[in-house]
Amino acid sequence: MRRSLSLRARVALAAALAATVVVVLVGVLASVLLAREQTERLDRSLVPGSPAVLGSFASTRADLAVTLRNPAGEARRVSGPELPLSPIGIPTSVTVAGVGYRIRTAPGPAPGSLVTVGATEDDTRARVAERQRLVAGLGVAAVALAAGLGWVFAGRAVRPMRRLTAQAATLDRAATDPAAAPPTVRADGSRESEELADALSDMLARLHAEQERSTASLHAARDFAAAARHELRTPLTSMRTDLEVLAAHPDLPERDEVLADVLRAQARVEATLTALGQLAAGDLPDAAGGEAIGVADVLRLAAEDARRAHSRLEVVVDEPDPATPESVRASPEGLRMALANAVVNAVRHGRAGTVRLGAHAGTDGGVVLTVDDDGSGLPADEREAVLGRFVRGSTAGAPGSGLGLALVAQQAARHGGRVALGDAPTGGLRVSLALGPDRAG
Amino acid sequence: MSESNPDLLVVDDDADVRASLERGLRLSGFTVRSAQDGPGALRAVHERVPDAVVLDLGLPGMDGVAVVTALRAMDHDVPVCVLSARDTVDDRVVGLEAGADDYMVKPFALTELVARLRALLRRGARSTTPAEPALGETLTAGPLTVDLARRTVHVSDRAVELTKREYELLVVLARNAEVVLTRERLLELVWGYDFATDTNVVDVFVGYVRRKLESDGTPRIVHTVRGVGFVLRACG
Repeated sequence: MRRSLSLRARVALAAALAATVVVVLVGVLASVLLAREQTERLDRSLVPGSPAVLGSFASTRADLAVTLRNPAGEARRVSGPELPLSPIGIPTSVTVAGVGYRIRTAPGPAPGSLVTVGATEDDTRARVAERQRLVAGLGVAAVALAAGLGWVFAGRAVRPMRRLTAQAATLDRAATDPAAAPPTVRADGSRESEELADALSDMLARLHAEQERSTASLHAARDFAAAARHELRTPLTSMRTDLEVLAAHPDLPERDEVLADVLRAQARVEATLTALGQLAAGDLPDAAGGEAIGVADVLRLAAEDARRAHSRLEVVVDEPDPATPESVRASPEGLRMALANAVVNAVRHGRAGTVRLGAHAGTDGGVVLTVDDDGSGLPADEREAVLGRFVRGSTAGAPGSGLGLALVAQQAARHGGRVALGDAPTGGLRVSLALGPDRAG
Repeated sequence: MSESNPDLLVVDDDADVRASLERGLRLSGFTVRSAQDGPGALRAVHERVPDAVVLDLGLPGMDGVAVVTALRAMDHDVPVCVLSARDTVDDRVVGLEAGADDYMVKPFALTELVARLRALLRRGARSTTPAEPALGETLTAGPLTVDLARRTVHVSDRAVELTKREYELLVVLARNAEVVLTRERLLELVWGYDFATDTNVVDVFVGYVRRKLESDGTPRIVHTVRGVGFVLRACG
């Protein structure tokens, strides 16, 4: 992968660039001012005096040239080459015999005469060039210094980033253990890096929580699958044994009995599979939030189901208590299934002869549906456990899937409610399915 | 033990399984008693020691492993075949380590259970070693010393506790040191299974024996010959 320039190099480069702009501006300005100042200095030196004085003066300075002109305009050289005439009083640059001169003309000592004084510009130019070189050198040094300092300071500034990178690189190893606390990263030193570290930590925490959830549900699913296999193996064992017996003893006197056992085991497998299917479906979230159903209707439907499924069972439906909300928002199939399973539990394990369905107002303003039986009941210390999957009570009257009450609990949870087992006024077990006030109406 | 109808104890908490097994085993020529939990099983053994026990591991309360442990602690070396409804290795590992002789995973073939029980009973009837070993008769192979009369095992002077079945497996391997024994041969010599049977009980027991022999870092002496079986080599 092609990498971009490092942040540190970028900062150094930016510092160098900024310094270059400043240095060029300052340098240009400085050299312009320098050149002008030098020229002005030169001009000030071109002050004509008397030719004699000028003569002696010129003789001491090799770079000076003086030309005198009489009123007729004839030039008389005092020293140096003959200088051309220039407008009076205005310093002018001219080239005489290949040498640059700065000249100035003024009225001469005699009336009508003119004196032109000139000085070579070479020295001045050399001085200006020398100063300009110095300024340029200083500029280059300043740019290099700016780049260097940018590099050094940027190194300090990106240090938190480097720390963050190092932490992030070692994270995956620490993060694989879901039991450990969610990993965090820290990068103190600059606000940006701290914000980035906080954002990263937040993200890691979210990922960690997500991972924990999926690990937990994976474990739950695995345990559930193992328990389900276990549940199916038991009736299959008796089925297989019975079938082998039938095969090995064609004239067995108790043949009908064995066949009945096989059929019962087959029914167990089927019931377990049905319950497993219902459990799997019930794990799906209640997407629609349920629909409004009349509480009395719920009881009536559950009673019809119970009478159909258990021909010898007496099913009594009580009028809902006066204070009970008239309807609930729920999944009708879910409630029916929950009540049907409570009834099956009463019949199969409580050996109940009568089941009584009722509806009451919850203390929190919700609805409590109850299934009472006159069966054998359940010891108080088992009432919580039997709501778990594949758990059977010690008083269980017949082999079951161990899923019936778990299905009731699942439907309660799906509706945001809860299941409680208690003593029924009729002597047996009461299964209460409580739906919260948010489900009422 | 009655010569004709061996006395079996079937322990399972599921009424249907219990009824089916009782009937199936009775029709296969056993006298069958049954118990539905651990304490019931121990009471039944206390009443009359059966010739063999068929024991479900997943009993409520006191589980099958605890029952085997209790039986062996009371010095009953009656053959025990454990039944497991779970197919994970862990389950049967604990059952067999506690001193059971074999395991079967539910659902199993009744004929297979009957064949194995008969073999275990035959094995139990006669001594595992051909003749009564003389006092001081020992087998040695490298660091291993087996005192046949005292039924003790030492590895480099360290005493090693083995269950009955583990001991018998080790003795067979030690008697045949440097000879590769197939799984079938070991099933026959140690368990008496002289019929084709699909089980990895040999591998499981070899695993236990190795773990106990090698617990202090002793180099391996029971080696796997891949695709063939196992061999005890004194060195290397």
